[in-house]
Amino acid sequence: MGKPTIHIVLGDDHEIFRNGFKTLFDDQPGIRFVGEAANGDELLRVIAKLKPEIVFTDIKMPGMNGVETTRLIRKRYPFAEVIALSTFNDAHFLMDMLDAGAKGYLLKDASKREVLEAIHAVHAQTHYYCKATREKMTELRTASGDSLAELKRIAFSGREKEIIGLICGGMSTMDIAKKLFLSKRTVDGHRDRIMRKASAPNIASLVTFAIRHGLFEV
Amino acid sequence: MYSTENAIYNVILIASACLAVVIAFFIYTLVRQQKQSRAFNNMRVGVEIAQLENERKEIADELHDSFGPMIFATRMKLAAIQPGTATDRNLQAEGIAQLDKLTQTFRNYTRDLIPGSLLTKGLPTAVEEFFDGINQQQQLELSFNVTGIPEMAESATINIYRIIQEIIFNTQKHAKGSSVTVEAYCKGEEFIIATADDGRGFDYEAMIARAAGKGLKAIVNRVGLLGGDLQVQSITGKGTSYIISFPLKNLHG
Repeated sequence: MGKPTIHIVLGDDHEIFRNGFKTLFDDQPGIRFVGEAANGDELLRVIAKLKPEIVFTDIKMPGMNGVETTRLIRKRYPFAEVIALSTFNDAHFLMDMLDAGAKGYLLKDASKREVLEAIHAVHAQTHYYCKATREKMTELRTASGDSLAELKRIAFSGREKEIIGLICGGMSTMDIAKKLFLSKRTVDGHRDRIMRKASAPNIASLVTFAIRHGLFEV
Repeated sequence: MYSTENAIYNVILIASACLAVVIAFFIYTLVRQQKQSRAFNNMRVGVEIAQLENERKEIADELHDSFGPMIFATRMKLAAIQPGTATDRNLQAEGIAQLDKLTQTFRNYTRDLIPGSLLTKGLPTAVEEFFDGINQQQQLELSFNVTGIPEMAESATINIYRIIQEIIFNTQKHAKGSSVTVEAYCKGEEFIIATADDGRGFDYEAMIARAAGKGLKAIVNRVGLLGGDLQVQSITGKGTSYIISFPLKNLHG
């Protein structure tokens, strides 16, 4: 038995882009492009009807933008993971989308290989960022004086910093435990402490916290 | 005798009073005219700047909405082709590489026209992103310290962003400095932008008198438009600092 097919939909206000994007999946085994929408409201309806595992969404859309749409998708349809498609590699778009619950971030000129990698990674509950975005994150690591002071105040241990890096890289508690030769319970303990120290209610906010404070190794 | 003298005095008094009134009226008209022409000039500059910003926004939107999707779609279609021969594979790779260059140009143009974050995220984010971009080139080190940002109308936000941009461009092009710090804070009823570079400095009064420097003129015009006050201190070899204060009430629009 092969792997189950991953169903994807796309929300973008430009038909010409949607048509181009579709062609990436013409001959892809295991991935099926099943639906598209021209705005946020329509995208929510399409997701409710087609129940895709992966949703690609543009950020700048008329009416409800990609950030608000993503927030609603994650709230109403948690089975659907969101990957942002962006024209610009701007930090504020990235932060907003991660904060809204997107698990992946691709520029619209990402390669076909990256689009496919993103689908598989996010489907496997891992975060994914295209090469240009990873480079951007590295730039952002040059933390400002303010965030360095805050970081000093919070004082993460070496082990905690290591685990933050791995969490942001998309590793599950199980994977981290295996990699660091620790028990799952120990990693869970670290994880709880990290989230508390960073005042991060979820992984998305931890990722944005880590990027802002230069803790994210990419 | 006495009354004749008195009469002469009276005539002189009345005559000089009349003259004084005429002169006063003349001066008053002159001042009013100057004021009017200044107001008119300010209005003209205001209209010109508003037109310029509108056009920039329209072009940026047009690029984003028609050029962008087209170029990305073309890249994806090109990538979807499965080349049969090595020649075709090379052609495909070349085509994609050329589109990538075009994409970079498109991104730079759009950002230069108006940064996406300025109107959605506000002045600090846009300035930080602009500074990040320049810091990446590693020729000029920019730092931005914000301690207070007042409520601002869209046009004021754009104007102040352009002023900061122009100051940085001047440092890059003319002052040849290696670092600029920019501070933004509120003080009483004013919003202050204070900058300092370590460039070679210039003679501000002479530049203004010669009406030279397009960038400087743009700064003066935009500051004037917001009813702000511009103080430039520049010492040859020691650097230039701009201190610009805007009355808060002028920023609300």
